[in-house]
Amino acid sequence: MKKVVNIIASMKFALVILLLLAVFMIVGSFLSSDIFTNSYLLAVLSGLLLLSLLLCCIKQVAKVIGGIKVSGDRGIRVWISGFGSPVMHIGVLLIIAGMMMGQFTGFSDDISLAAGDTYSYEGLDFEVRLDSFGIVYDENYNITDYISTVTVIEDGVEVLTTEITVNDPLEYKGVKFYQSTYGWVADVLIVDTETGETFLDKDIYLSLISSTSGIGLADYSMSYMTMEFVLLPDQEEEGVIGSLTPEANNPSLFFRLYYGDMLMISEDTSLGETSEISGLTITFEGLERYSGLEVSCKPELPLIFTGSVVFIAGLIIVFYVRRPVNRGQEEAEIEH
Amino acid sequence: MSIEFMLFCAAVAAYFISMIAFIISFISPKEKMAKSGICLIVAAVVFNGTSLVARWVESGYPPLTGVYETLSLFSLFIALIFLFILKKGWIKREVLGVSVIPLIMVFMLIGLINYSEAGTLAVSLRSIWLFIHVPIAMLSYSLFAVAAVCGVLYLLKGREKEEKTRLPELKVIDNMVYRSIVAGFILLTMAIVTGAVWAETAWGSYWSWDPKETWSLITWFVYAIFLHVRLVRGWRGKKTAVIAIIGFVAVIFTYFGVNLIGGLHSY
Repeated sequence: MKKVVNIIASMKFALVILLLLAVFMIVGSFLSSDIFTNSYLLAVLSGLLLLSLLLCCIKQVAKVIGGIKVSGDRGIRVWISGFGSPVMHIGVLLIIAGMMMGQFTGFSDDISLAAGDTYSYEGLDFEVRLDSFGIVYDENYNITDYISTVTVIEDGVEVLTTEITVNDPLEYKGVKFYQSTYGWVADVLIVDTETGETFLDKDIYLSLISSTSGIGLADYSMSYMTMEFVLLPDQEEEGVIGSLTPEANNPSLFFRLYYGDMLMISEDTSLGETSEISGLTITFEGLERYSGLEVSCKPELPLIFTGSVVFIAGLIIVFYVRRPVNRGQEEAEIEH
Repeated sequence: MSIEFMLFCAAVAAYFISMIAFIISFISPKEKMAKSGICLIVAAVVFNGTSLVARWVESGYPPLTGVYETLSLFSLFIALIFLFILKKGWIKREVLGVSVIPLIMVFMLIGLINYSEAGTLAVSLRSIWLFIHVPIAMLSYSLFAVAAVCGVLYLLKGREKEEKTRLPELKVIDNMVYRSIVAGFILLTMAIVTGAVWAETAWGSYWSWDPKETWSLITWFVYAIFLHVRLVRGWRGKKTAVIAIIGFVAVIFTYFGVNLIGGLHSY
C-alpha cells in the first residue's frame, strides 16, 4: 500500500499523467468539445492528477514544517521560498477540485425572453422578468451593445431592476444572467381557410442568420408537416428575400410548408397582413425582439478563483522571492 | 494608405534591413554593420510601436484583435526582449541578430499579408479584460519565442567546433532558455486565468474547451513539464532545449493552428 502511495505521490507519476492529459487534449481538440465534457478518460486522468497532487502537497507541507527549525537562521526570504512549491501545488489542487465540483453542482440554462416574459427555475426562490430589450447600432449597423432591462421578483415583490449587457451580467443570489444572443419573436396565426378553425396560434422564435441583415429563421414541426419561417425585418422589395437593415422597418415573413416530400412556398406577408397557402390562411400578427440570456449558477467559482490566485502567488514565491530566477542554477530543492 | 499602415511598412523595412546588416556582420564581423543593425532595430521598434498607437487612434479601440494587430504586438514584444538581452550582453549582438530578427520578420510578413483596415470591435470584446488578457498572452508567447530561439542556439552550439565559436557559453544559453520560460510560464498562467475570468463575464462560462483554451492548456502542460524536469530532475542542456522548442511549436499552434479548427477565439 505504501509503495502504491509513493508511486502516486511521485513526480514521475504526475508528469506521466500530465503528458497523457496533453495527448488526450491534442486528439480531443480535433474532434468536438463534447469529448471533454463527457469523457470518462478525462475524469479518470484528472482524478489521478488530483490524488497525486494531494499526496505531494501533504509531503511538501510536512517537509516545510519539519524544516522550519533547520532554516531558522537562513533568513526570512529563504524561509518564505520554502512555502512556494506547496502553495503553488495547493493552488492547482483547488482549481482541479473546483472544476470537478462544477461537474456535480450548479446548473445552466439558455433562455429566450420577449418583453414581459418571466423566467423561473425549479429550486430558485425568485423570478426574473424581461422589461425591455434593445440593440445599440452604430451608423453602419454594427452592433455596439445589447441591453436587456430586467426586474427580479421575489414572492411577488419587485426587488431589483437593472440592465444586463454583454460583459456585464446580473448576479442575484449566486445565479448569473448573461446577455448571450437575441432574435425575433413573430406572432403567427394560421387558420383553416374553409372551416375557419385555428390551426396554429403561436409565438415563433426566430434566430438570426446574420446580425447585419437581421434575417431570422425558424422551423416548427407537427406530426405530418414542417413549417419554415423566414423573417425579413426591413424587406428591400416585395417578393425578394433580402433586408436593408437589421431593424424592423418593413418586416415581412415567408413560410415554407413541407408535407412529407412536398414543398409549398407562401408569398411574403407583411406585418398585419394575411396570405394563403395550401388551404391555410396565415396572419402575421406581431413582431418583437427576444433577448437570449444564459443563466448559470456555479458554486465552484470562488474555489477556482482562490486556487488561481494562490497558484500565481506560489509561482512568484518559487521563482522570484528568494533571488531573481537563478534557482535553475542551483541544486534541485523542490521534491515535486 | 493609412498612417498606421505606412508606419507598419516602415517597421517591416527597418527590421528587414537590420536583419541584412546583422547577417553581413555575422559572416564577417564588422563593428559598423552591427552598430547600424542595432540602430535600425531601435527605429523598427519605434515604427512598430507608433503604428499600433496610430491604429488605436484611427479605429478608437486598442489594436489587440485579429491576426494583423496581434502579430504586430507579438513582433514588438520580441524586439523589446531582444533589446533587453542586448543591453544585458548575454549573447553577442550579431548572433542575437541573425537568430531573433528572422523570426520577427516572419511574424511581420504574416501580419502584412493579413492586413485589414480596422473594423468595428465585436461587442463581446468591448471589455477591460481585452487590455489585460491579450498583452499578457502576447508577452508570454514572445518570451517562449525567445526561449525556443535560445534552444535552437544551444543545439547548434553543441555541434560547433569550440575554437571557432561565436555563440555564448552553453551554460549562458541554457540559463536564458530557463529564465525566459519561467517568466513566460507565469505570464501564460496569468493569461489563462484572466481569459477564464473574461470568458466568465462575457459568455457565462470560464472554461468551454474551446480549441484555443485547450491548446493554451496543452502549452502550459509542456512548460510545466519543462520546469519540473529541470528543477527536480536536474535536466539541463539538450533535453530542456528540445522541450523549449516543442513548447514553442505548441504556442504557434495555440496562436495560428486553432484558427483552422475554429471556436470562440475567432477574432
